Amino acid sequence: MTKEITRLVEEYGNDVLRIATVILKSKELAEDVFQETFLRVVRSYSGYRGESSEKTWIISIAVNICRDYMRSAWKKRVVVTDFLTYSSDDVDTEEMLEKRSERQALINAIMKLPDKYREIIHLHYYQDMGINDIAKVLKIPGGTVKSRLFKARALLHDMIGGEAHG
Amino acid sequence: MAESLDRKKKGNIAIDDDLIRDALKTELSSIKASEDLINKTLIRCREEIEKSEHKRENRSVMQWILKLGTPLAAGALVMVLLFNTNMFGSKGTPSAVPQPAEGKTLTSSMDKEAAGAAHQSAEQSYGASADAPADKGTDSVNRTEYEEQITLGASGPLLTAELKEEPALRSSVNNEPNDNAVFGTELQQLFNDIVDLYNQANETQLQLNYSLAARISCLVNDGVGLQDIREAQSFDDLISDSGYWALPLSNPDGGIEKILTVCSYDIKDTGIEITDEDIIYTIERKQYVVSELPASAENLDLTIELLHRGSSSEVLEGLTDIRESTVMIVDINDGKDFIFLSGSPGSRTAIPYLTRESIFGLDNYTEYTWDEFVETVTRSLEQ
Repeated sequence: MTKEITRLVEEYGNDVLRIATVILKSKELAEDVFQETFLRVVRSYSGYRGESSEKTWIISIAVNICRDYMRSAWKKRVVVTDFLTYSSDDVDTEEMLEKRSERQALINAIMKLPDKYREIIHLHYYQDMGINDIAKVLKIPGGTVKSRLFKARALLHDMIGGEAHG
Repeated sequence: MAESLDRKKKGNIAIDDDLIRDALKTELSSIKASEDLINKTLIRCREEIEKSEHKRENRSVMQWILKLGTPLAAGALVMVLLFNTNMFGSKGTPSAVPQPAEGKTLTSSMDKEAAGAAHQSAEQSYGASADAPADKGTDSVNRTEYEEQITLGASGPLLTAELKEEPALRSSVNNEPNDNAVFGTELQQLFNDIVDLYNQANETQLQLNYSLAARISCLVNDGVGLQDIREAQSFDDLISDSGYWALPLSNPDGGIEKILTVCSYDIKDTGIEITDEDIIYTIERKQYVVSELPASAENLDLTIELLHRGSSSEVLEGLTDIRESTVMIVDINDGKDFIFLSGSPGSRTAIPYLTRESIFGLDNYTEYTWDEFVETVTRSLEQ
């Protein structure tokens, strides 16, 4: 089992850390979630029946732990975005600079979204999860996933473009 | 792409699915689990695996003992009954009445094992035997002896306890107030019973350190944000009526090994979340959710220091009017970070006990007035 856990940590560790960072907005707390997630994977490993993919299962555990963390909410408002540091050795062209500026504006807007929209944007666009998998992870109906995605995108439009939408 | 957004220009940025995806993938790619984090996690996982394997081994040994032991015990019982009936003509003689203490140890440990093995609820009977009323009507036990048996049971833990493995409670913030206030020896008895059950379930021999047990208060329900802190007038505005008890457990060498959290639980209240690691004990028809505080060595040491500071009956038993108490311990981060409050309501000072000091800009063991606290925390959160 140790080998199997090592594989899971290596394969899905970064995904867990990233979603925890996006949800909790704290690198330190995300590292706590990282550890806690794989401990829970160990504890519930024998109960995993393969009904969802390994990734969905593990991300689901991570999201649940994040939610537990958010309930004790002094940390809830700790807004840290400096973990998104950008480093490049390349000399940027004007176009690249503009592209990066767009990305950063967008990522800042995503980080300012309310929790329920932020997590759904991450699951859909970063983790490439479909509606059904997101519904499983968040334990909400597929219709709610769709409406939240729609609302999240509308909010992003509003935040970046300043234009009322959705 | 089916869910493609329109490429309508918003300001200077055309937001579409590809841009969102590209932004997330690029910007988040810098977040990677460090070697150190991976190693730490794997070490903890290995410890967890070893722990569960050890438990499984113990469980299988006990199952084997149960399988072999039950027929033997049944045979022995038949022999005893036959012997008593034939030799004395009555099974209800004083010598045949089981002593409550023996009944407790044997019955509960056997039942618990069976419960653990089957992952099902189990009942544990303590003290007075369920056979007693039947004996009363049919046997020739004299009344004084019968009454003595009941009294012995009642003075000990006369309990029917259920163990259930439920989905679990993590957030202490969600704990319900302990409205079934109990005090003094009654409280100590309740804690001892919970520790007994915990020991049986985990095959440990930990002792309750009652002098360090404390009542921990929780923050107002949805947690406290920067705005809440700015709007509050004192610490009292941030504290809810909810809370839980923290029970330090010592090993045979006297060192505190674990801290259990206990809170009353209303099974009909769907607002309380139960996690896989929590156990619900039913004692005298009341339910209690029992969990362990997060168990890093650093956190444990810190919490023990905190409990030493809060060691007083007021901290423990200030249940009915906790807000009037002049000493309080408040959980501000899911059992990992606490503040110790002292002083009268409205003019309290706080001493932080934080596992990670940097998180709120506060220094551990330093006394903060409300104004100093607000200034430090808001400055830290605004950064």
